[in-house]
Amino acid sequence: MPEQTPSWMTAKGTEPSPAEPTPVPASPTPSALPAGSLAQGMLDDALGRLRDEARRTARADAEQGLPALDQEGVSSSELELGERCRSTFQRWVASARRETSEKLADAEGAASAKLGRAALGIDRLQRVTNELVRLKARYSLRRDEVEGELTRGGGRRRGIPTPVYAAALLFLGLVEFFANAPVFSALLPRDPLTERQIRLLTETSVGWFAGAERVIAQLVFRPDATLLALGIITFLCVLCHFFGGSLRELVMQGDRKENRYTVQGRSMLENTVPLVLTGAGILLTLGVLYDARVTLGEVGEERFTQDMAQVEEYRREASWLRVDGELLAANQLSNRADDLQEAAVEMREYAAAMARMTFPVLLLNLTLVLAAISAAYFHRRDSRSEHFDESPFEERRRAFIEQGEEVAQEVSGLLSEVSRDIREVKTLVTLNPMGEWPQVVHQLESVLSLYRAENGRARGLDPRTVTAFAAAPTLSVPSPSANGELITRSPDEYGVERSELSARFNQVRTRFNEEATATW
Amino acid sequence: MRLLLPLFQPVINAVRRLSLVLLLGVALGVGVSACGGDPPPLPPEIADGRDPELLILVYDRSTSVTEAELQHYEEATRHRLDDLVHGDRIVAMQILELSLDEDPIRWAQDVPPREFRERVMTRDSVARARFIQDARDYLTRFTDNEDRDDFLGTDILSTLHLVAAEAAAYPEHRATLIFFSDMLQANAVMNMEGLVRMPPAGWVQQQARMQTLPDLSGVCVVVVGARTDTPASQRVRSFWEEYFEVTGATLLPRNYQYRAVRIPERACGG
Repeated sequence: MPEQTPSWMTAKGTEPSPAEPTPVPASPTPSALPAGSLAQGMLDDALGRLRDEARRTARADAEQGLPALDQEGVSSSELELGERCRSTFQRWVASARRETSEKLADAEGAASAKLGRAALGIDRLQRVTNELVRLKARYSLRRDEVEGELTRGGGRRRGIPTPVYAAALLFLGLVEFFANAPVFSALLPRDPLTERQIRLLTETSVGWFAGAERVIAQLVFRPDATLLALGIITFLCVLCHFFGGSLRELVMQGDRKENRYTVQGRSMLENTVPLVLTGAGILLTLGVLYDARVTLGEVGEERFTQDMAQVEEYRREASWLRVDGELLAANQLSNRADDLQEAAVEMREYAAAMARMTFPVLLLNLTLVLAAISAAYFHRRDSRSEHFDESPFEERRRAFIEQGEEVAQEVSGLLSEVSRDIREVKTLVTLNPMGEWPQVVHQLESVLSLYRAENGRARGLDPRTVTAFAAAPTLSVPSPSANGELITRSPDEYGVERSELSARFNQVRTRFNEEATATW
Repeated sequence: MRLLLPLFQPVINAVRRLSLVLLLGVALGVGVSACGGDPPPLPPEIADGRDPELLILVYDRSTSVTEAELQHYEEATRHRLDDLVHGDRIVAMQILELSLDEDPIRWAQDVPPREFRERVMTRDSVARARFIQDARDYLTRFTDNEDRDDFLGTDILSTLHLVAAEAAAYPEHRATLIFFSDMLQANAVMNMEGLVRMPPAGWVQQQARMQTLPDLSGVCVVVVGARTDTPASQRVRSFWEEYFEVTGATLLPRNYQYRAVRIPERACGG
């Protein structure tokens, strides 16, 4: 019953050589080393050469009648073949031993490396577990701090109070009104009586409130311009109010949607549409104010020309009245001419100044609009309440868990691979590939048998009739040592180390799983 | 003492509140009164209690008046017009030549009143100055040296009827009559030039009894251009003094001059 051949000891050399003229009766080709191994290849080549040599030597001896039929002892040719066979055996042993040694070294190296990596992985898993514990502690501490701060803050909500907002908007509206009302006063047709009344009030106002009286007179005596300016400023304030509110609502909605605080039941368009409409309204209103100022320059020049023509007419008429002695009427006309000229010059200067300041006032209007929008934005109460944001901690925790799982998976794989490597070491140590050496010896002895058979056939003799061939051919070779001498550590030591690592890994993984599945 | 302190605590609090309210009230009162600033000054004519003046300028352009005298009339007029204030009235007329039947050359205007009677305004000052300048310019036609050759006489007495009518039309005004004339009546009835036909003694009284004299009560009369350096001129002056006295006007001796350097605003005092 032949021994079971290891997988790496397949019998490539057992195939019959095509150069062999008469195949030797087949004997099961022993295969101590796997097919494709260097030792086996070397053995196959050597056997082929030895057989050729045996045939050639047998024929040569047969021609010379050697060995003599009664010759005692082994012939010199057979001795020489025997020596060569022993030499071949020695080379095979050395090659097989070297090959096995290399395989053992590889298996041991792999096992050691994987055990080391597994140990490092377990250390890493332990660190990740410790980080999880520390993260949990930091989370608790931070949450207590934030909740304490929120509790001390009385749960205040963002947004400026309504009275402050109303005061701010009123002030902005007033600034905007006083910045734009004179433009409309200048653009609208003027009434001489109104101008006279304003002038009288302006001249008669004294004291600290004189300035306010003059301003109020300008507004009260020109109700059309005042109402127009007031209307436009009201439009602007209302548009800014809705624009800022819609913007805030849109931002809050986007934030809620992003953070998924609530289920979104409302469309973003609900706030986008008023945002766009009010934005367009603001732009239109600012455009009207801008255009009014641009137009003011041209209107001022046209009116100045017309007014000066009227002034000249008044003065001409006053001159005629003076000639007629109607000095009082002439005086009144002169006064009117002076008033008109003064108003015309003032109007032209104002229009020119305003035309020069069109862009700065546009910037002022834009600034006021932005301020009003900001006020409306911050006035809009935020329906959300502040709370401790655990998402950063949750993200870090998730990252740690993923990292730990990767490490655990890697360690688990390494431990399983280590088992295979240890088993391979054991196999290499236990299954002695050179235990096949008797078969190799038989193969080599068959070379001697081939010599005898070929010699007899060439001489037409039965080899058994030759005295020198009476004894069975034998090769005396020393038996090779076992593989156990090649390894540095016992496979059991690897097993013990792996078991210790596995036990530690199980312990750490259990702790990791507890931390990973625990809640905050 | 500590035991009594809680009993007085409400009183102390009330006193504190009251003092705070008082302090606030004082601050408000001072602030509000200060906000108005000083009251605006009253116009001088209101502050001085001056009545409006009716200034009647009567010009004699007859041939007995020289060109130099006309220039003097114009200069005196210019200075006197400076004294006019808002609300005054100025009347200028040329002395009739023969009788009241003539169409008088008369011009009258009111000095532009103040827009606010009790408030000084720059605009009023401008209007007054412009008016006075216009009046000066306009009144030059009453002292024009041209076209005087066709004058037939100098009827001062008839002209004074017109003056009386002017004064009667504005009784609330303080009337001042300034004669720019040599005061020589010269028409068919009376001719004082060279004392040719002087009125007889008692003429004024007789006319007064007949009620043919004008009522010049309250009128302050100033004569510029009448000579007083000769017996004849003194006689003429005596006549007018008697005349104005009888008609109720006031003609002070100092107001009867030939070349008045300056005609005072209140020539008759008061």
